[in-house]
Amino acid sequence: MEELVKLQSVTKTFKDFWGKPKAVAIKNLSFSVEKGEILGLLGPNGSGKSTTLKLILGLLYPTRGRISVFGRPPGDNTAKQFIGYLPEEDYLYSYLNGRETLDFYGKIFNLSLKMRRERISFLIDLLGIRAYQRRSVGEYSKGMARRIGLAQALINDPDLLILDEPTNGMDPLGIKEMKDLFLELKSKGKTMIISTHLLADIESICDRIGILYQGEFIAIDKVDKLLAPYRNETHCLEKFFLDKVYAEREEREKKRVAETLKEKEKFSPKKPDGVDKELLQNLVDKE
Amino acid sequence: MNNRILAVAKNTFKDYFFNATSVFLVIMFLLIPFLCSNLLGDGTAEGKFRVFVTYSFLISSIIFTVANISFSCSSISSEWKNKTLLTLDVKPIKRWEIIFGKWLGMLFINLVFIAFFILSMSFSSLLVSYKLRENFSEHINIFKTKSELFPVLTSESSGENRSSESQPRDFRFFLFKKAEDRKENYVAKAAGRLDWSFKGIKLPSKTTVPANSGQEASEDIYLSYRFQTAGSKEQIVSGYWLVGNSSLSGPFELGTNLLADKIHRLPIPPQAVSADGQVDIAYLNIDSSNISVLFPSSDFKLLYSHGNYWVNLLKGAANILILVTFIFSIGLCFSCLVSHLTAILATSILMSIAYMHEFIEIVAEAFFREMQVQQQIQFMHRMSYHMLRFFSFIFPPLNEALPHSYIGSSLLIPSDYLFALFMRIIVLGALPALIVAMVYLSYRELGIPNE
Repeated sequence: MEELVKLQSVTKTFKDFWGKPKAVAIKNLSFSVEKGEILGLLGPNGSGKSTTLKLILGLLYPTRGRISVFGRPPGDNTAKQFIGYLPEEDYLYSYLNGRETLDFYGKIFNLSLKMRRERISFLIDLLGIRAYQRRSVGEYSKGMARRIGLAQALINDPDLLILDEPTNGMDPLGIKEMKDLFLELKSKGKTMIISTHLLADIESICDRIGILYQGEFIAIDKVDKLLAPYRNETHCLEKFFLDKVYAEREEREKKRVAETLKEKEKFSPKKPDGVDKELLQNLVDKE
Repeated sequence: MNNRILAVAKNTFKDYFFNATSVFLVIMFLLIPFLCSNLLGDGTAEGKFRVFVTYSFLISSIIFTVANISFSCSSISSEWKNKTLLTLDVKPIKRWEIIFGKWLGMLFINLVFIAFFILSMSFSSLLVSYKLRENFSEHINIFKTKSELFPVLTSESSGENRSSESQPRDFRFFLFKKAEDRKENYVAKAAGRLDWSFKGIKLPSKTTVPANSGQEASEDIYLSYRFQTAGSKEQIVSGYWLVGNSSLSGPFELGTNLLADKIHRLPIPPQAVSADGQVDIAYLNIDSSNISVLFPSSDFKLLYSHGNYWVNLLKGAANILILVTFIFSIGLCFSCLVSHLTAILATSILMSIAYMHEFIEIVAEAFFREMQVQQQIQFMHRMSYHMLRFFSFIFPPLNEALPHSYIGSSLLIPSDYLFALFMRIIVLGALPALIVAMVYLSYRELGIPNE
């Protein structure tokens, strides 16, 4: 199957003004997204989901590793023709109305006037925004803005959709409509990468799920495989996610404690049996 | 031009034009000439008109400057802060296209503002003319404009022949105008003589020819000059002028007893101008008190009626356009580099230095003279001098782009002067700033906030 997106050993380190490393957002991340697949990116806040998406879109540059989108480097204009992006917040021009917003982005894609009109009309009906298409985006509610945001992501009928928390701020009816839309797009062969921490949204939509924790994948596989042990439980994805995250957190904490002990052993006097039991007890009590 | 750039330009135009601030600016540009038309000036028709034009252009230039600093400095930085730039960048548009589209949008906005201003100036000019006809029975047609010519010194009696071309046609002269050329003085020692030639006079076809040639001449052409002496400031000096050209049998003779340090007008008979637009003028210092007369070259020029006030208004608009294009290009550049407030600060400082261009040149000259006088030239003095010369070189002379100094004096703005300003300010100033902005933004990570 054709790989539309491929990341190979990608690391992203944010630096301060003086070039000193400040935070490692992504560590040695490798994965790919095949054509027609829907990949869900889950993770707690600050795990690197949005950073990963921005790396794919060329808004950030990797410190190490390689990324290719449609076989080209991220940010390549030819590849961008086939990408639609919905950011986590609606970054739209408040002084334009819904129609003007879609028309503006349609022009950026060099769509002809006729095609733009058809496309805008179709998207307005599809997303149910006909009633307020002439109002300024600045006056929209959260849900309305989200719909316009999705409309601009779909204006070019993209092959690859990158959605960052698409149901953020939407009411249950809107969420249902959006999920139905995603399934419809999937049936048309669209590829999607959906980043969210609302687990219920994506369980029924995604083919594969990847769970990010502190910039690394702690699990990435097909949904059926990952959730097989939890099939008899309610909210199985949520259970699986929490188990995975807690387990990872515990393991990392143990590693950190062990490393701290090692460091302290270098400097503190050893008891006859070689272990500073008082220090160990203090550390265990802390946990 | 591709659709993407035009789409961004249209978007920028909508953003900045359809809001309360722009409405206020349009009202200001419509009102200012009208309000200035009520100024009295020095009580003469010419004075009133001069004050009207000068203040209209001056105040409007200030408003244009402030408005463009504000618009341009928020153009990219506010989009970056609001992250609308991220949504735009993931579309198939190059970053230089975004910047160029913004630049184009701001150009369109300024063209609209300038159009409103010129419309108001035209209407107010008609109003001023109407008022002057009512109140000044001898008022001169205010729509007459004059061209100015600086002479070529062909000979002087006391020293070697010195012919200095003060109107060189060399393109490089316009870019790197030497300060020394403006500092020349013409000195006529006691019993001495100076000869000048003025070339390129284009008299209108309806220039009046007086019945008696010689003493009476029309107001269409005159020599404007000022002289100084080593004596008291308002010393009276006797001089003799000969005016003519080689095709005449003899020159026109005009004796004068005039005050030093005042601006004088010597009417030139139109017959004194040759068919190819040349007139030769000689000054003989016949004063018996053995005193030398010094004519500063910047105050020695021939003025003749030529050109159209309405064309001049359009040239004034072109002047303003050159000025604002530089300002918003610099603001756009800073907007890509730093945050909104920092960009405003940086652009304002840069504008101030560029507006004080002449002052910087004067200070640099003073430093140079000081360095020549001092026995030991200190390192800081030398550094300061070179820094001032550097500023004077890289910052374009925005003070020269203010149109009021020409139109306010009823002078026609020469087209080659406009071209020189365009080259110096736009090509050498605004264009490099735009290139820096495009290159910088092309390599910048937009996913990280700008400052």
